[in-house]
Amino acid sequence: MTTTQRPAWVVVLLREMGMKVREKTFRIGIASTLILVVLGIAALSFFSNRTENHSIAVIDDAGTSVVHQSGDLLRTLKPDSPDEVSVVRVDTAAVALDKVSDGTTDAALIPVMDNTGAALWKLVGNGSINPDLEQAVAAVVQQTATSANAARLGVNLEELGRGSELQRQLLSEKQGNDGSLFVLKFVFSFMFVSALMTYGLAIAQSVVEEKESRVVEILAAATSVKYLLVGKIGANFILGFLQVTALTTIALTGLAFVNVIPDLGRVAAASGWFIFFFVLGFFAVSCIWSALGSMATRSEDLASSAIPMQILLFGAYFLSFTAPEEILRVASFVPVFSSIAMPTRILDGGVEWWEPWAAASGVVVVGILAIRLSTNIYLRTLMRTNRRTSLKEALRNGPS
Amino acid sequence: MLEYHEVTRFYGERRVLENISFSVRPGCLTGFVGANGAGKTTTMRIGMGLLSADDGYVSWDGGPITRAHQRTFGYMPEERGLYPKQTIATQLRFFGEIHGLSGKAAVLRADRFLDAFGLIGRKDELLESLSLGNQQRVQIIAALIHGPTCLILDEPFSGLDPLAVDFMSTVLREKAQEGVPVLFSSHQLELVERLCDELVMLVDGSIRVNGVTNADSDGDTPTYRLEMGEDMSSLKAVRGMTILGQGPGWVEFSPAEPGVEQEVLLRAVSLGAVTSFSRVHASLTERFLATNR
Repeated sequence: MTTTQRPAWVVVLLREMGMKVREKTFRIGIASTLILVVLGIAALSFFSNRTENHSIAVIDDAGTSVVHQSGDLLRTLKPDSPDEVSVVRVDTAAVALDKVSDGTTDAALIPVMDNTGAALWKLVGNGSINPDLEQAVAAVVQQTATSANAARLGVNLEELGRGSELQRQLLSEKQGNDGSLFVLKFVFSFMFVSALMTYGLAIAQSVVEEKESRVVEILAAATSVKYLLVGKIGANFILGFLQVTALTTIALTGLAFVNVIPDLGRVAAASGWFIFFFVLGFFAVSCIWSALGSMATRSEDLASSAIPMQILLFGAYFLSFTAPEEILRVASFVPVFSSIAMPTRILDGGVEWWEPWAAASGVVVVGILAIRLSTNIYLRTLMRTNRRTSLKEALRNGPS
Repeated sequence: MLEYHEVTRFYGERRVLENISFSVRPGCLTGFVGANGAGKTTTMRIGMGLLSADDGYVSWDGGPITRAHQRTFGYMPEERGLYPKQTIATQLRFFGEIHGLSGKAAVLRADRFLDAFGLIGRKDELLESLSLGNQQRVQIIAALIHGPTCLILDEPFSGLDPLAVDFMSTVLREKAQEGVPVLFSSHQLELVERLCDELVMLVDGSIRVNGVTNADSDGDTPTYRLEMGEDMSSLKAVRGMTILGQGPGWVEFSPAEPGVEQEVLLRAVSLGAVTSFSRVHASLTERFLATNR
């Protein structure tokens, strides 16, 4: 137990933290966010590693050979989770088509003739054909036919193939908008928005509870109201920061463990930006939350005062994974929105080095203005315990 | 000594305090009475530095009051200003530390008060689990824990049962005896009359009564009451005596000038045995009603 005097803001900070970690709703909130993160990673792992088995009906050895080669090709393309291809040998094309119709096989590979009399392969499906399978079979058929035609015409196959190799280069690191990236954005944005919401609302609730019970009068008589604000914001910031850092570490460790993200380094870098923007955004947003709390007189008032902030934060959240690229780009420079939109863009890839810093500068400038304005509102309205204060009144009247 | 000097305060266009001046002396319990909305809470908040005066000022020990002075005061807001979901020991330590005590000193003092107030066995319980009277005990400990130099208490007796009222009265009297100026507001006028040394009555933001609680309220026209078994009809003959009320065995009168009451008493004694003769003081309730009508 300390024998020295502690600064008032530290006393407030420790009380706020102590009360928060003892709250049942707080623990449930942390647990549910953790569960969501783990489920997100599990879903990512499940969808990425899901192996499909395609059964194909064939009527001869050539068909069997094409199907086996297609299986080999699929294994080469997706070594971690290759789709399996199995052969179902039948006697006639009609039986093969029946097998597809009644669902016994996913597809049938049947030799046919075109109108010039050339032998072809026809892949028949019922309603749809798996695109990976179709691509693999098409590639094998093309390769086989090219080899056969080259041999028949006496052409050197290597000479024939010269210059046909496609080289691949990406000018930006922007990733395709595939499923795993979507889940990542969803999980990361949720983690950070929920922290901004949870701890921001906690500040507002703490302010209004002290107003409601008049504890604020004792505290304001004993110390400077600014220290109360610093203590409250500090406590919730520490808890929020610990939460997002811990959850991010858990998420990255989980992702590394399930090994489904090919470029985990960039995800880790984007996480760092998420945390960086969380820190910047938190101070601006938390001051606004404290002002909202001080303008209310009862907890019930807070519910309506908080709606615009909740819309803003959830708007930023949904924007991060639903907005078209150009809108997301604009949002990534608009303070508050940028706290989610910019790290999301970094996760997508293709962000210039200066862009996060420009967005961060915007957050700092708007944050400083928000802190000054909100602190003024907080100081002016905190002692108005008899009725709710409108924003107009809060801005018009000087300190009580 | 805490002194208000011609303090005026507005809420928007409305003037809630008008040139109020009074003192809260060391060693005195000063009762602060007034109808709802008279301005008592505003006055107390100005004394604590929670609100500012639009005109006039407050002084402490003869000099201008500062926030540093006010932070040494003990304050109890009108409603129960504590954290219902926190344990008693934890929040008393918090209030001690916020007033500048070390953690250790705050815990020691809290334990001493809890022991003296009969709550030591319940210190780890949540505040909301206590009865109203016990919550008020914790509230007064929160106001006393740092050894305040002045006490400003808004309705400390509100909602308390007679035992709790007695306990709170004793605590306040002890603090006053230690030399601490104590100002408290209350609507329990009999209690204020019994407990307080001095009285301040506020009516619509202005002070109407300011002085000793039991001061004669009838000023230049005192009222006397005489009781005896004999026929008192011959007393009417005394010059300068105005009879205010009369019944079997008693009469209340006011003398036109000092000394007339002595003549009435001498005449009565000559008539027979006088069983009672006293000056009549209006009760605080009567004075309050008369002032506020």
